[in-house]
Amino acid sequence: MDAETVISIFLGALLAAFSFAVVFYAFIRRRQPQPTAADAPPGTDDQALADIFDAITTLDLEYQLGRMPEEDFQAQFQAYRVQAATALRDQLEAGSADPAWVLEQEILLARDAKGIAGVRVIACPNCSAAVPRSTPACPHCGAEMAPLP
Amino acid sequence: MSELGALSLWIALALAAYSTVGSVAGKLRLSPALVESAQSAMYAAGLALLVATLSLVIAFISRDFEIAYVAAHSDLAMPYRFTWVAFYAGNEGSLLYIATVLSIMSAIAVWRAPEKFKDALPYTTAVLMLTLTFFLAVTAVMANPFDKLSFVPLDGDGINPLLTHFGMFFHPPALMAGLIGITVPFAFAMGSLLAGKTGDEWVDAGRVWGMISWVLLASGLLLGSWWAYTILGWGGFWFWDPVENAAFMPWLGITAFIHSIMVQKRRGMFRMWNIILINVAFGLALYGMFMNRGGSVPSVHSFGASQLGWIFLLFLAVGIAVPFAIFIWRYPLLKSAQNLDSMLSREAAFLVNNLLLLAIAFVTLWGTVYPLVSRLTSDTEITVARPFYDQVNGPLMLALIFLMGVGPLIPWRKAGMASLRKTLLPPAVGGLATVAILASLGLHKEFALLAFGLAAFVTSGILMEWYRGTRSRHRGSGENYATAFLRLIMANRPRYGGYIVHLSIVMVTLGIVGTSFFSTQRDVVLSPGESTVVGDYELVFLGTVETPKGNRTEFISTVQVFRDGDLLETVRAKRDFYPSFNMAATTAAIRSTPVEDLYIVPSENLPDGRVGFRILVNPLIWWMWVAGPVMMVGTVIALWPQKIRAPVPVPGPRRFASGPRPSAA
Repeated sequence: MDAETVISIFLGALLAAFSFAVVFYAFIRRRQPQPTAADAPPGTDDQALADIFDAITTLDLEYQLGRMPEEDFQAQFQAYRVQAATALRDQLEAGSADPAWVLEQEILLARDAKGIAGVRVIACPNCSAAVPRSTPACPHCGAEMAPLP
Repeated sequence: MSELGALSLWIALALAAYSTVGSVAGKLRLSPALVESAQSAMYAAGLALLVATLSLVIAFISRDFEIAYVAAHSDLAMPYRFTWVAFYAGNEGSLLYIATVLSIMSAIAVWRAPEKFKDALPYTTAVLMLTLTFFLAVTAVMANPFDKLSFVPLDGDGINPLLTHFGMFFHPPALMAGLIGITVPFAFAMGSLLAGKTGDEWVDAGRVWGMISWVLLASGLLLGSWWAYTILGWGGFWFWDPVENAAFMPWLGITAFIHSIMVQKRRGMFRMWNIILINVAFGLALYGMFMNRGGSVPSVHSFGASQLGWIFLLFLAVGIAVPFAIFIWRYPLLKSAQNLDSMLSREAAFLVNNLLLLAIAFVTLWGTVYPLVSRLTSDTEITVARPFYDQVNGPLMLALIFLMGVGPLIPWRKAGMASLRKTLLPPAVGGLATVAILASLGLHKEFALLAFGLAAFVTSGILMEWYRGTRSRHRGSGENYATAFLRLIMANRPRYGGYIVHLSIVMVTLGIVGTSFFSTQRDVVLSPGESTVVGDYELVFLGTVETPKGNRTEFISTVQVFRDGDLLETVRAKRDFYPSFNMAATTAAIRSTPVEDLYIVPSENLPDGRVGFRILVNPLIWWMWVAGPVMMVGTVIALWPQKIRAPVPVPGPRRFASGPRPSAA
């Protein structure tokens, strides 16, 4: 067996060992103690609710940018509202949230829905950019906007 | 380094198999550790394959002829720059290349997968790794590039002369990467179905990877056409050869998919249809790989033929049957969020575009498999030639170009007749004016007139959109026209990148129509000093210089090109004869302009000094080669990540209360 063959086999064995370590690292890491709910900093226990709020904000931004038709937006927004309300109710029932805070969140959700219902922008039918409702032509692509009903 | 290469290959195979099983088992048993471990195995498989690839490259560079594959595809006379080409000159190297590309694409796709797709990602990983396992198993067991000879030859057999061309550095790798790349959007679709996430979570990743596969296939096809045009010596670029068709069909399928997926992304429609399309594209890609590796039909690419056909055929059957079974299983969940509002809408135009693309794909498929069908049903093999494809696919392609002009100009949901008339009038005038001008100039071939008219229609529509948008920005914000145009493109990259790609398709159309309807060809035998006339050109053959080289004899013929008595250029056409292959490779002398190419190729060098020449005048073909870079630019713009644009001046979004949330305690 020449030196090149020995080096090749050694490097191959090294690669195999490395691969083995990479594959099993996930199991070792998982066995380490995971942070418990009690260790979590205050305010992170209701991540699901925060995620829904973020999703609503993103949805609103996307809608303002004209990336989705109004009907889709309203349908999705309603779905998020239901999710958020359910999450709030769950927290209340589990006793992990202050009822006053829950009420405040619910009022804000309702107000936001009202604000959004009065559509401020519409999507350009050509390039889908968000265009103020009173604008006669799309400022992005120049397409003529449909007249207001 | 053959031992390291072989070991790496087997390690990669083990890792890919583990990753397949681990991903599914981890997901089913709700074991995040197992899922994570399987994902790590996928990354490690990519690393192992890079080591295997590097080992083979080193074996070629060090001329390690003990390795059978290196001895079969290189020799001492081969310049080092062709090492990359020799790497995939045979099945063994090609399969290793395909596996490496798939592993890298898989790693990037999983790493960059959207957060909302996380639940379905283990299934996607499993589909990717199952495909990789297949390729690695075939490579390791049936076509191992690291197999050794029982003796060490003093020199190798050499590289196939037809592969010693600049285009070969990119054409095969781009095509192979494009074909295997379709696995990625397919895996996202399958992952989504298997996880029961039948909404739009996979759409973004599917679109991006679909476009990457699309541009790789398109570049590969164009480079292959250029290779055929410059080296095969028959003056054409597309032969409807089975292997060409094998790459063309998945390209059609993925073209349909990347259009249709936009409708799902924007409107939540075509959910079922997109799953069907990506399945079809994947099936056609597998068929393409079967044709490349199987060699069941004679082809100009016969150097890729092998005995691996049956195993690829088996994989093709499984690759079609299983995904459709999964589709049927999840069918009840695949309901679109919206219905088609009107046939006069952009989404309807996309649907018709899809149907036309699939029709062309299936016509091509029928023409490709017909020799096999005829062999099975009768004693004689009937080959389908170019007239069949031209007559059937030609009108379909014209209809497709028409839709390419109409689709982007009509709005989503529903178009009113008045607005449609107003939008389509300028491009229609552009198209009709072009037809009128060409007809008045004496061009009377109806089909060509129609094609040029449609090309002008599409181009006018795109230019009109650009002008309208630029003017609007210029007026609204005071930007100068150049800035307004650039910002217009950058503001909606998928849309305007798509327009640039459409322009490149118009360029390809010009090349195809020009050469199909207006090409002139002459075959002549000339003695030194003799001249001939082709079209407007007078050609004077000066003589041939014969030079023996290491592995070939080079014949360089010099020809002077005159027009109206003026010397335009002196060109040199080359013909290399390779005794060990008993094969000649030609390099045509091409005088190329945007109007036409003068193409001179020496088809035979006679002992008395005379040379047989094939001379062609190919109008507009220059546009076809320019289309490639334009297409790349358009695709890169369309794919370039776009941050959320600053909203137009409207009140900002309402924020929810933030800060620490009090607990009930």
